[in-house]
Amino acid sequence: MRIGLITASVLPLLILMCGWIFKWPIFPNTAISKADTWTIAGTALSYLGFLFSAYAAYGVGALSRKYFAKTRFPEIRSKLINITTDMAKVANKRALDLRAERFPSQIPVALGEIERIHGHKLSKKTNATTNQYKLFIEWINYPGNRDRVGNDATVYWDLFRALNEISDEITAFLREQESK
Amino acid sequence: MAYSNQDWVNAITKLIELSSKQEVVWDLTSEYEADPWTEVDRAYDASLNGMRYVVKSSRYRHYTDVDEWYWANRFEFEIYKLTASKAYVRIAKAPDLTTISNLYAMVEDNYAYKEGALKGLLT
Repeated sequence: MRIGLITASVLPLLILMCGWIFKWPIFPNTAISKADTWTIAGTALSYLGFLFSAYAAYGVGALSRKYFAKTRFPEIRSKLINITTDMAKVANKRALDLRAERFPSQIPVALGEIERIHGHKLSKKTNATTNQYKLFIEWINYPGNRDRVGNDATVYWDLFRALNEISDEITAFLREQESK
Repeated sequence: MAYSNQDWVNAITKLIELSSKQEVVWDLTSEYEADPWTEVDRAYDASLNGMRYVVKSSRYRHYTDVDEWYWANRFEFEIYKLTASKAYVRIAKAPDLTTISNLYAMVEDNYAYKEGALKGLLT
């Protein structure tokens, strides 16, 4: 963003100066009056003002996104920890009984909440976890798995690990934000 | 060579899996290497394949300023190995991972069940 701002401010001014010095056919007359000089200077300064206003607006947006993430992430992390703790505690239940547990419905909600927050790099992980979740739902709904326990299913522990990875990433993200 | 966080997550998840199957049984313990900066609230240990695993719930002083602090909670996971002199020596300590809190919560629940915490109240 900064490089873009510098380029957008310096490049047109540079072209304008070169046109003036080397008499490029940018200006209508070769003889520029004092009034023309002030008009050109005014235009250039207005352009710079517009660029800095746009940059300030972008900065305010970035700050707002940063503080939104800082406020929301601790709560989402607690939710994820509760989900994985539940998963660890009920792993010895049958697929049929796991359907009645709360955590299968809480997972997509927590992942959706993460997706709605901007300014993080968790999208790849949340997408992968959503796929793991779909596999887990297929597993608990498959009639042949009714009496199989969560413990014996690789999908169960893959989902558990994926959710914990997201929790750890959020912890790292919050620590980084704290030290900034 | 060193273990990555992913290795630790996989190992602790395996331990949770084994504990859930009752293949690993946990008990309260007070045998672990002490750290003067940490207060251990509770610790459990379990043995498997010649290794002793310890999971602890601890408190440490989190300083917000030079002289301002508050008690912060953390969960720790350590691995001990029996040496030739019949003493357990800590050989590894896990990094700060969410999986450890899952393990601790599950171990605490299993222990309460094993000790019959609600025995006599559920009839």
